[in-house]
Amino acid sequence: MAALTLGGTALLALAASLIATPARAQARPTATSPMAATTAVETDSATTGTDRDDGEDRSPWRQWQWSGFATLAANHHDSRTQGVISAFSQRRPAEQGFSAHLDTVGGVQGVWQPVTGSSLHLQAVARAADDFQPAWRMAFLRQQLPQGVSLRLGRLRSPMFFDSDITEIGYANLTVRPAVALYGSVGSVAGLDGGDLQWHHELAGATLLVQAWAGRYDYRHRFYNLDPVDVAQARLSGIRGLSASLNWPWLTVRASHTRVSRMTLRSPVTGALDAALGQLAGGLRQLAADPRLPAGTAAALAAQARGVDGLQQVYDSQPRYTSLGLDASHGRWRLLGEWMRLDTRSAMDGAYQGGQLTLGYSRGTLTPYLGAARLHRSSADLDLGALQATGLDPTLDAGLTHTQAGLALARGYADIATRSATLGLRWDGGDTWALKLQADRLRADQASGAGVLALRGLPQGQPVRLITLALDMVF
Amino acid sequence: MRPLLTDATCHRRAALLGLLVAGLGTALPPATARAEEPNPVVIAHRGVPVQQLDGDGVTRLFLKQSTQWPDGRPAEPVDLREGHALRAAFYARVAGRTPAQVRAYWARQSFTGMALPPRQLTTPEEVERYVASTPGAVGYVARRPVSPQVKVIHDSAE
Repeated sequence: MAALTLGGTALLALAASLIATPARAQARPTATSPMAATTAVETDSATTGTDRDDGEDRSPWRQWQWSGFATLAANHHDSRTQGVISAFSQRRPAEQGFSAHLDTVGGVQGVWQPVTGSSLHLQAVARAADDFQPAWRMAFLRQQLPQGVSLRLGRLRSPMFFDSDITEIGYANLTVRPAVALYGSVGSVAGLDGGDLQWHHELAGATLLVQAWAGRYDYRHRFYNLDPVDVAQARLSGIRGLSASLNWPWLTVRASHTRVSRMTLRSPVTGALDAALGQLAGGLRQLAADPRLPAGTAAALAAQARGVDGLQQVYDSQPRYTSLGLDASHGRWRLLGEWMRLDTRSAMDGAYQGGQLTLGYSRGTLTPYLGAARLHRSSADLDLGALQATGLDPTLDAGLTHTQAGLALARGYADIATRSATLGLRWDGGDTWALKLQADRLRADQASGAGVLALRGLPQGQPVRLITLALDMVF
Repeated sequence: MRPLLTDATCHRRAALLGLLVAGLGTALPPATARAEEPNPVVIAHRGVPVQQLDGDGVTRLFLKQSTQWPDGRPAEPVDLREGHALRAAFYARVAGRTPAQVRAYWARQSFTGMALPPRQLTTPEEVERYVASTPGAVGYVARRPVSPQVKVIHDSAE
């Protein structure tokens, strides 16, 4: 409710500002480079105290400023049974041989800032992995409030982890992409439909940024092991999170925690699974009702029926994401690091811990880098004991055994623990582009798990050796 | 028994390693070429309540990590256009960052909707005029300013 009130205040402030000062004087600089299109946007403080008129067109349309980013990338790997993905929402994994699906992306951004302190941000993105179907990544109103507070309402980029908001902005990444082993677990949650409050506060020699967010997000989750691939509607509701960043010119440290009240996955396959579990539970209850059975056996069957019922909607969860990350520069050296914990609070998915380190060394326009990442499953306690055969009804037992085997396999596919090692070279050869050559070695953390890979079957095969050549641009 | 490494082999390998290192050294461009670099002088509007600022303080203003002057009034950094030699010198000397690092920083800030980069002007003369006429403004030029409306708050040569 408070968020709604604040949102209303921000919208009112924006509307009032538009009516009161439709074309406040803004000394617009000469656009001299592609990035100047971005930088020409008036900043929050840009017009404060400035009463100049340079005679330029002040129409609202002229107050839109456009910019964009793009990555043209080719990947190659030789694994026949494993596709490479950066998110489980990805329609097309990078398959064996050459592919452009993993990293190729284009984005266009428009910012409208009619008055100081109020702005509208729109950003659309099209990814090769999703057949270049455009999607909104940002569509929000930003309102600067007193005391260093600002409010954003609408669709934001996901703030969950340290680099969650730049996973597809190649130019902003030192590497081709943030470590898939870590970011593959949250890559599908690309945005947040809601809002955030930011508070900037200056400490001695540093800036503290506290960010609180709330909202929801939907996406399409893909189960790649099924043929045809099963597409589930994933719905995250009640997302709320808090982060604190300390920024020095040479170091940024960020801690964040996000909770999701409820995450659901619904698809024809999950629906059929729930229906089957319901039938099995019904069969067990029917069996338990047989008056010829001893009381103890009947009670055990009734308890087993409850256990089977408890397996319904087994993919639903209440995930919690915690992250502690840093980005440090010292001379030519750059160090990126992050520790994270993902507790899905789901017996099927389990809990994970992981981390990544990336070290780069810049000499002129060249930056070689190397990195390693691991996401480890720290717990998974899906108990399939309720699906044990009863020994009383062959037909029911066949159903129980079949479902137990299916869920045991699904438990392996739900294990996203992954390891990766990365070696690459970045060349900032031009004003607005960078070329990267990167080699990755990816594999599931455990042979029984699928990892962040599009697997056709388990156990997984050899580690995937992925080579990527990427051209990142901003304009 | 054959020795693992003969003296000649050792010498050849050492020579090869030396050649590789030397080749790498010549293949990579020098980190900075300061001999011909201009000397950026950071200027601010006469009214800002700061007389001197160290390199970190200036960097925080231009990265918009710091958005206010000590009296609470907004700071407005103004940049030179991409590719200007003085801009590269400013970020190298004051912020210790290459142009690519600065662009990557702003790509992150702007394309995530967190912040927008400073406005860009074409010449140091435009910067001086802008800073002189804009309360709260801060920029950098190549020489001591002539306008009485601005003051020097950081000289990278000192």
